[in-house]
Amino acid sequence: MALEAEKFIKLKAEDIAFPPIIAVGKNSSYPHYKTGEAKIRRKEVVLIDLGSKYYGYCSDLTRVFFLSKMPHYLKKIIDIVRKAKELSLKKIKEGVKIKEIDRTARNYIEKKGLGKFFRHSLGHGVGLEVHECPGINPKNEEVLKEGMVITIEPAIYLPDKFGIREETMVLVKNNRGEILDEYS
Amino acid sequence: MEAKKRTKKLGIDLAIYEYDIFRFIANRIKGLLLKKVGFESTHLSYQEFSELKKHLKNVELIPTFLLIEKLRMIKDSQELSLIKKGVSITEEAFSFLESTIYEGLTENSWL
Repeated sequence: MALEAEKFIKLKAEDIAFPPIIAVGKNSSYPHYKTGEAKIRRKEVVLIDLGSKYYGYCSDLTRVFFLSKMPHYLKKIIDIVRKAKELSLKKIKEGVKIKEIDRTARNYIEKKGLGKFFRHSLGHGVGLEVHECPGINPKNEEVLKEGMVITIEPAIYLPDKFGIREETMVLVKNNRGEILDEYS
Repeated sequence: MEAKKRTKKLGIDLAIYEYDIFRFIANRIKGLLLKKVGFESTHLSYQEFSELKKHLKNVELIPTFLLIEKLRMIKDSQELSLIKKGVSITEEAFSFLESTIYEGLTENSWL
């Protein structure tokens, strides 16, 4: 699928922002999985992380697909990731400390007892590079400013099982965050 | 030459080097009579710095940290419209995959 995703993006934009990540089942439990030869199966998670480069500017989104009815254990994890995402999205506006945004999602995942399965930062700036300033992490003391474009991508990676990451792109405004993709 | 003319209109002085970029940059800096020049410390290698310094013994080279990157954090309206278009293309790619995905495809390709 990754090749077709790449071709599709290249029909509409000048390039991909990074090689598409398509991770089936256990493979989705690796945050930086390199797309391989695993086959899509009905009862396994399919995690897809894609980005285009349009006149030099990158985009970066991640979604998780499931081909049949979602089992309860999976739904539970997805709901936690979504809720973490929503909580941090609500905090976004000019003047808020970046570490607070990260903390909000992280605290929620920790409260659910899954903190050790979310080990990367919550997000990053996006622009001419797919990863740029500011890093949305628990150590960043800087504040959000109007006009920043960042990703919010909480995740839970259960080793040898599966991983769930939901990544959205947000424009910081003076009183809120404007979500740039419609799916969220 | 055309590029040079066009960028001049935008207030940009386009310079094109032919072989030794360090000597070229050093000469430009000397031509501007600069005494202090900042460089991006996360991008210039020690080798490159030494080359530059060799030609600029009387100029103070001052490391800056993510100077341009910090400026780049805030997007203007033109940048935002390009990013928004890029996001919608990526979303279209998701819809395309969602409508064509089925059991048995591999991560890498349809085959």
